[in-house]
Amino acid sequence: MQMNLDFCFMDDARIVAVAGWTTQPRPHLRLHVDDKVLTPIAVTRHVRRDLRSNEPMGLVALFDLSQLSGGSGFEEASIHLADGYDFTEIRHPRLIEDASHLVEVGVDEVFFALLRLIAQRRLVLSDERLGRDICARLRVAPSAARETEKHVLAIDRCQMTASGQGAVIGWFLPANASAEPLCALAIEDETIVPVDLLPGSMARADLSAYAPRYRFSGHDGYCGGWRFPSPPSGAARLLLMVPGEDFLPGVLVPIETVPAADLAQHVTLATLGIDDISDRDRLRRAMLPHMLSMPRPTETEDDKPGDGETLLILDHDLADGDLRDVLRRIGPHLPGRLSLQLLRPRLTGVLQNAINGAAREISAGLDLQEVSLNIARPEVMPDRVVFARSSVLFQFDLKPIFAREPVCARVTLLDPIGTVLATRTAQAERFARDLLPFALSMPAAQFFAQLGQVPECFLTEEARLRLLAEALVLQGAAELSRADIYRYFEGKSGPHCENFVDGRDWHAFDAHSRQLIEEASA
Amino acid sequence: MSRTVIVSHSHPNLRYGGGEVAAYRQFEHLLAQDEDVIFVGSTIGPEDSAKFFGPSQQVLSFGPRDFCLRGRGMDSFTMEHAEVRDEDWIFEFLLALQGDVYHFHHFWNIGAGTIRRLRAALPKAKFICTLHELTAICANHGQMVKRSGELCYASSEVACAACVARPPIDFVLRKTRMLEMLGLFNHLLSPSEFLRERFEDWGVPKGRIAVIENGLDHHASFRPETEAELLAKSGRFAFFGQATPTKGLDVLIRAAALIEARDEAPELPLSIEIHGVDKDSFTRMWPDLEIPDCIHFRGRYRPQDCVDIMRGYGWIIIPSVWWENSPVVIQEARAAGTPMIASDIGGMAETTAGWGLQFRVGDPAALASAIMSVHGQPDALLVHKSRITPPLGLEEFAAEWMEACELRKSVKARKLVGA
Repeated sequence: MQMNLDFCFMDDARIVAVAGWTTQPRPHLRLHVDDKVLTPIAVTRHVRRDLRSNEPMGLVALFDLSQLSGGSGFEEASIHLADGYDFTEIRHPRLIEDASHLVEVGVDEVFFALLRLIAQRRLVLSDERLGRDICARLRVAPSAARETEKHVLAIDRCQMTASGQGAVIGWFLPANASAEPLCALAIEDETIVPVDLLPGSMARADLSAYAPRYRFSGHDGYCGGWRFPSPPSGAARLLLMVPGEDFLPGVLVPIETVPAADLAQHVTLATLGIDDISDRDRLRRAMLPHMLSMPRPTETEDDKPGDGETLLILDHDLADGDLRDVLRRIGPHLPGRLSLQLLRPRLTGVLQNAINGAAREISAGLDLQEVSLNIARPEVMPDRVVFARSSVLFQFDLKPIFAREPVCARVTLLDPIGTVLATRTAQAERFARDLLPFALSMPAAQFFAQLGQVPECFLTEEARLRLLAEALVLQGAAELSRADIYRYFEGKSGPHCENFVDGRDWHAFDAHSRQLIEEASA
Repeated sequence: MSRTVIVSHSHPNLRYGGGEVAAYRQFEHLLAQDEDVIFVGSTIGPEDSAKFFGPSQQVLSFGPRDFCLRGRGMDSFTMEHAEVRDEDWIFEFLLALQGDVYHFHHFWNIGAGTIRRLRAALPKAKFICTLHELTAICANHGQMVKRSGELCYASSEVACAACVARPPIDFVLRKTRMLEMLGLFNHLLSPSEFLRERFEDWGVPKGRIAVIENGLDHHASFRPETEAELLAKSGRFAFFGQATPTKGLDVLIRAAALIEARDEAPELPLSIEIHGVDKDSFTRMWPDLEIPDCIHFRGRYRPQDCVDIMRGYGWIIIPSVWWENSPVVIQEARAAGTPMIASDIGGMAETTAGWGLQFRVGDPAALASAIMSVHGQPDALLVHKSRITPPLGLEEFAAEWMEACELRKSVKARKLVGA
């Protein structure tokens, strides 16, 4: 019997999906595109209750058109689905519209099959409207049970940062073997993203008590990561799709929003638990963007000198009480008032005391504007922004860093071998690779316009600012100077210097993130 | 008319340390000279404050010109008040005194921030600081002795980080803060050459520190001693000090044990008397040390009695295992005309040179040999006594102080409002 074709659409990667049903266990499907004949790259089967049968008659077959040469589109091509000697013409509009139709009117089983293919990254559908429709349909979908006769699924942690990076850690024991893997989607109001899940990747000897009922392997822990393309606006959920579960979407789990450092800590710990070392970077990579684009200069309204107010974005990496000395030593070099954004999670009494003390000694005036690990755009734009760690400000010459002129961006860095290898490219490479201490000073409007182009995918703001400074150096858009000191000590206080379980601090964590992004995009 | 405010980290009415005693003697002398002078001391921490102050009391007056502030305790690493409101109070108090001269004896409990702000508020006032020890250089109680026990010859960020277990950057910051603060003083004074050299090696520009030993009023002369008295005294040795590890009392006890262990008992009985420490406190500090028979604990003494007590001995022993600066006990020994046996380092080596015996620091055998080399030797005692020069009197100190600090003597004390 010929396959009954319900939907046929093409994804972003030119994979054509045909969905329908057939009674044949092994249908002989081909896709004819003009004179080219393609065989499916994947066929999945599922039970459909509307067919009144327990046999998996439902089918989704995928054909890869990306390998076909010529033309960016297939508007002119003649496309037929062949099943044995039967041919069905596929008109072009279906390739564009059928995905939406499937989500809108497809029976649950085919909708869930579509979700599994998206979760497994076999289909890539980035259309925003489609994402919204999928989310809307899932909003009312019931969750599968975590423990049934067929499986037991546990979620130890399911967390996400405010910027949309997330990870799930748990364990899964099926009753029977399955060719289909456990897979997952992260869902927020209008977006779904596949979770890069590593099932069976972590040793969990503690689950041996389940052995009589379920398939216990000793390596039944899983972990997975994702990243929403933009910060979620509301609550998010994770859909864990259990193999063999055709009638329900899967287990729906609320995602807890946690501070980025907490997630990093849990991910670092989970990473150490992944048995196969070659998989360890996958979890981290799944939470990062695919590439880092260098920020570009933008047109800004106001680069003219104003009242000389400086916004200092300070990573205070010294003892809390020493903040007073750092700030008051800046005082004599200020062209106007000093506003402070302190990159700390909270204002302690000692920090407050230090700021009060410094305020008594800075004649130009000092305001504490913000205490947060994230940079906040001020309501009233100051003249300049200076970013540095306290250890840098204490050991670098402050005069050029806080000078009003020249108005351009200025990067001051400590490069011990800068005189030996002084080319701009070599310096920029060392700057990024060796995490050279630096101070960035630039007009505020430019600063915020360009910083906005750097993705929020790092633990520290310094990693973003380092990228910005590096771009400015490479583009010749900043006045670059070397700190004229030979002895320099890094600060060891503050959250950014705290170590994770692998012994790396936040800066090293970010450096590794950047390395992973660059490797992926190379 | 010139008003001098003498500021000390402590008050000798409450604690009797060398620095505050020197500061108070200077105050008393100037007051006796009808100078316009005010003394401001402090309690050294909340415990002392709770003993002497009411719950909300900020200042104790011991006289119209003699004040003791409520100290909250200060981390000597930062040398800053933990609460800026405490700094505000001290700053405003010192500012209100409207001194023309502010002479600080130490800066602990006063605070670097207080001094910076006072300096900024009173740019025309003369600021003087007497360096009483090495706190600015050394974060390990200012003693330049490493926590491992070895003597420290110079500070550095890395060496100090290893010793005190803090990041090197903390020492960069601390040194910067200290040097900046010392740079605010018009005059820096040191009671010893040793201390001056240490500060200059550390970073204070050469020529900034003048050396004036602390003043101590004393008898002009004593009745000559008979041969019999000299012979008796040549067998009598004494220690004056506290049972702190760096004072080296354990070295002396070990030396005494070595002497007693010798086969030949000395013809003249040997007696070593310990003043300032009782047996219980010694045993608490060194529970495993057996006390030889020649050691006698005499307990605490009144500071004003010290010189007279010292006169009863042939030799005073100062076995400190840290550098010391210009210990008051050495001045008191000079005032008593009693020679010393001293560790051969720092301020002890400098201030006992010529009239004292020196032994290798921390070495009980060397100390035992030094003791036995003069034990029962009245001639040696007489020779050393004859070499002693009396300490600087307060009158002479004041004259040297005024010259070094380019001060002019006031004619009459300014009357204090309300006094």
